[in-house]
Amino acid sequence: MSKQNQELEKFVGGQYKHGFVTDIQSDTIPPGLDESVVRLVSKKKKEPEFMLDWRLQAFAHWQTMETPVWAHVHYPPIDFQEISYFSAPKTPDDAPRSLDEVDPKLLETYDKLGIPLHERARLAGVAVDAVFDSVSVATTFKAKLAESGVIFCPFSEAVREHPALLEQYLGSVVPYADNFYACLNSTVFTDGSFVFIPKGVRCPMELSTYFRINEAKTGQFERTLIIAEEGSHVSYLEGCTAPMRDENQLHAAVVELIALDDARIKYATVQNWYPGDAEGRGGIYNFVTKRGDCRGDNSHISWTQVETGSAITWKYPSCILRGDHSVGEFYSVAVTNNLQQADTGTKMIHIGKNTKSTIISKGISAGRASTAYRGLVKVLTGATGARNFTQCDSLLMGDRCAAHTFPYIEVKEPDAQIEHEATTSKIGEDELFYCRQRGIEEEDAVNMIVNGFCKEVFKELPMEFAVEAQNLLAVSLEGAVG
Amino acid sequence: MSAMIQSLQDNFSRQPVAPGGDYVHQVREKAMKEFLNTGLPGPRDEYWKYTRLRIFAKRTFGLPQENAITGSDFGIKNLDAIRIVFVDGLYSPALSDESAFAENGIRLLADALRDDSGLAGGLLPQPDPAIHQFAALNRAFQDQGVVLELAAERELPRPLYLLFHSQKTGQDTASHPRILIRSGAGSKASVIEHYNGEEKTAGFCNALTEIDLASGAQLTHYRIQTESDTAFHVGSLFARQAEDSRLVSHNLSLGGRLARTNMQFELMGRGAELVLNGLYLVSGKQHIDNHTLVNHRKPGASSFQDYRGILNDKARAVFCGKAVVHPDAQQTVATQSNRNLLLSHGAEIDTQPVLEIYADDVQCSHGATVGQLDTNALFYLKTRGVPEDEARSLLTFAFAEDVVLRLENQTLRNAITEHLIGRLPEMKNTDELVTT
Repeated sequence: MSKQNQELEKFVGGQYKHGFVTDIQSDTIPPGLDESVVRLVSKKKKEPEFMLDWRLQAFAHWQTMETPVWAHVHYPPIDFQEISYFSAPKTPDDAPRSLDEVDPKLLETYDKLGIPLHERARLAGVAVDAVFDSVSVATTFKAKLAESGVIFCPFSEAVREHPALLEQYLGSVVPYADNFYACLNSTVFTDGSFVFIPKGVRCPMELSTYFRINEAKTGQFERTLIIAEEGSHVSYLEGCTAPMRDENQLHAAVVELIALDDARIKYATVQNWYPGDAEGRGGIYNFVTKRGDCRGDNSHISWTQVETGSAITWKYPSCILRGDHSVGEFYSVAVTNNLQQADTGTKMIHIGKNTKSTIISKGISAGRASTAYRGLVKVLTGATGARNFTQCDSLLMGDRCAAHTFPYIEVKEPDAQIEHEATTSKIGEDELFYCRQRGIEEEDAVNMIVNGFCKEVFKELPMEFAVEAQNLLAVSLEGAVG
Repeated sequence: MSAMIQSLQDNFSRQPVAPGGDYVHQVREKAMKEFLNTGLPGPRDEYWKYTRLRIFAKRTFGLPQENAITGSDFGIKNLDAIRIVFVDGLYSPALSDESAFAENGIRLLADALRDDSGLAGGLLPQPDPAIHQFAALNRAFQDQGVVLELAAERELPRPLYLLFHSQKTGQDTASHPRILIRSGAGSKASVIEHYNGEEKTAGFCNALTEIDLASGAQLTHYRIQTESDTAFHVGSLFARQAEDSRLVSHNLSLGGRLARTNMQFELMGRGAELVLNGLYLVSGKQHIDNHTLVNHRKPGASSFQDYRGILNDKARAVFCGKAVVHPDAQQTVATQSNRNLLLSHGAEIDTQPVLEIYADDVQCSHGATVGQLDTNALFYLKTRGVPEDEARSLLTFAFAEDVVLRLENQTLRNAITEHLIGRLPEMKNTDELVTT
C-alpha cells in the first residue's frame, strides 16, 4: 500500500497535470522483508533518523516473534516473504477506464447504498485522473481545521513536519513489541492518519479518512495516531460503507489514541472490505491493533465499529483507563455471511479510580460464517470504584453458522462492580411472522429485525453514517434468509 | 524435572501390583507415559491460565500408607447412607457398610478390576491427555476407588456416601481415588463424594469420577471438598448422558490450599438435562479453580449452570464455564450464571463464561458478575440494630444460601450450612436467624 499511497499522492498532488511521468518500475521492491527493505521504506518516506531506528528495533524484535494462532479463525499460513512491502501501484492501464468497465454487481451495490455518482468511480478504483471532485472539498476542510489549530494530515507528512510529537507519542500506547502484527506494522508501515487536537479545542468537524483518501490511499500497513490534549474533543471516522477495490490481502493496521485530562475521543469505524466470494475464495485478512489510552483524569475514549467486510476480521479496540474518572466505551456490530470469520471484541483495563467502561457487542452470523466476541475486563488493585457493564448478543441466521463468546474477567479490587451478560438465539420466528402478516416482505422484515437488534450501536454512529450502516447491513445479509 | 514429578515417578515404580493382572498393568504404564509427556501445566497453558502449580511442583508426595485410625465418626454425621470410607488414601473396611455392597451393585475398584480388567480404561472415551494430564495420572495409579453399576430401572435405596478422609499423619501422600458410575436405563441414584482433611494435612488428592447415564437414568451427584487449607486437590469428572437422562451435579469447593476441578459433560440425546450447581468459598491464601465444559452434541438437550463464589482475605478463585453447542444440536437450551462476591482487598477473581455455538435454533445465555454486598440491604439491617459485621456475614450467607438450598439431601444441607456459618466471621451470633 505504501508505494501506492505515495504514487497516488503524486498523481493527485499535481504531477497529474503534466502527465504520468514517474518511473514506476524502479520504485518496486521485490517481495520479501529484510533490513534493507526497512531502510528503503524509511528512505523513500524521507524520514528522520529516530523513525528509522524505531523501525529497525521493531524489525529486530519481529524476527524473534511467532505467528499467533490463538484466535478462533482458520486460514492458511501467511508467507511474509511473499509480500511486497513497498509496491508500486497497478499501472493506470490496469484499472478500469470508466464506470462502464466496472463490475456491474459492484455498481448495483453502490446504488443500494445510495453512494453519490462522482464517488462511485473513485471507490471502484477507476484510474485517478477520472476522479477529482472531492479534492476541492478536502482543501476547504483543511483550511478550516488549520484555523483552529488542529493538525490532520497523512502520517508520512507528520513524520517530516512534526517529528517532536511523533517521537513523544508514537508507540506509547501500542509499543512495537506488543504483538506480532503490530510489530510487523511498526517495521514497514507506510502511511495513515495523524491527528493532533490542541488544548481546549473542540474539533470543528468530524474528521474522516473519507476526505483524506485522495491524498493518500489507505493501505496494507496503516498507522493512525490521534492525540487529544487537555479538554479537547474530536470525533474521527475511519473507512466507509462502500466496498472498495483493494489489491492487498493482508491488512495489519495500528491505531493509537491518546486522551489527556478532560479530553474526549470518539473513533468510529465502518469496515467493508472485500469478504471473498460465496465459497470463501479471496477476501481480505484484517488483523488490526487498536488501543486508546485514557491518560488524563476525566478523559473519555469511545470506539464504535461496524464490521461487515473482510474474509477474516481479528481485532480488539481497547481502552486503558489510566486517569481517574476516565471512561471507556466499545460499541460493535460484526456481521459475517458466507464463509467470513470474525474474532473481535475489546479490552478494558481499569487502573485509575472511579473508572467506567461499557461494552455493547452485537454479532450476526449467517450462512457458514462464524463470529466470536472475545473481551477482557481487568480491574487492577487500587482501581477503586471501577464499574463495567458488558452485553454481547449474537443472532444466528442459518443452521451452519456459528457464534462464540469468550469473555475474560479479572478483578483484583473488591470495590469493583462488574456485570457481564450474553445471549445467543436465532432470529425470532414470531417477530418474522408478525412482520410478514403485516405484508412486509421477508427480506425487509429480516432487515428491520436486524436493525432493531443493532440499534444500540448504530445510535453511537454519526448520523449520516448510521443511515448508511443500516443499508450496509441489508446488503451484507442479502440472501441469508429465505 | 520438578520435585513433585520425581516423587510421583518414584511412587509409580513402588506402587503395589495392579489388581486385574497384565492388562491393567499395561493401562497404568501407558497412562504414566501420557502424564509424563504432558507434565505439569505451565504458564503458557491456556487451560491453566490463572492457576500456577509452582508451590506444589516443589513438594514431594509419598504413597498412601496404612495408619492407625484415630476416630470413627469422620465426615458428615447422621447421614442416612451407604458409607464407604477411605482413610489416608486407603479403603477402610471397618468404617464402611460392606454388607450393602453386593445387593446394590457396588464394588471396590480393585475387586471390579479383578472381575473385569476392561474397566481399567474407564467407562467413557479417554480424554485428551495433553489437557487432562491429571486424569491420566489417576489412571496410572488406579487401585483405590469404587464402582457403582445400577441395573435398568433400579433405584438406590439410600445415597451412596464416599468419604475420602485425610488424618494428621506424618508423611504427605498422593492418593488417586477413582469412581466409576454406570446407571442403567431408568435407574435412579444419589452419590455423595466427600473429600475431607483434618487441619494441617498437606497431601495431594487427585480424584477422578466417570459417570455414564443410560436413557432415562437419573443421578444426583454431590462433590464436597473440605480439605485442609494446606492440601492440594485436583478433581476430574467426566459424564455422558443418553436421551431423557437427568444429572444434577452439586460442586462445593470449600477447602484446599490449591484446588482445581475439571468437569466435562457430554449430552448425547434428546431430552437430556443437566443441572450444575456450584459454590466456592475461599479465604486466607486459598486458590480454588473450577472449570466446567458442557458439550451439547445432539439436539433437544438442556443445561443449566449456576456457580457462585465468595472471596475473602488474599484468596483467589477462578471460574471457567464453557458451553459448546455442536453442529446440528438444534433446540438446545443452555444457560450459565457465575456470580461473585469480593469481600476484601487482596482477593482476586478471574471468571470466563464461554459460549461456542455452531447451530442456530438455540437459546443460550450467560451472565457473570463481580460485586460487593448491597449497601442498601446492609443499611437496612443496621437500622434494625444488627451490628455491621454481623449484617455483612448474614448477607454473605444469604448469597451462598441460594446454592445450598438446592441440595436435596436435608442432612447434607444442614452440614454445609453449619460449615458456612463456621467460616463467616461474626456469624455465630446470628445463627438463630438462619433457619435450616
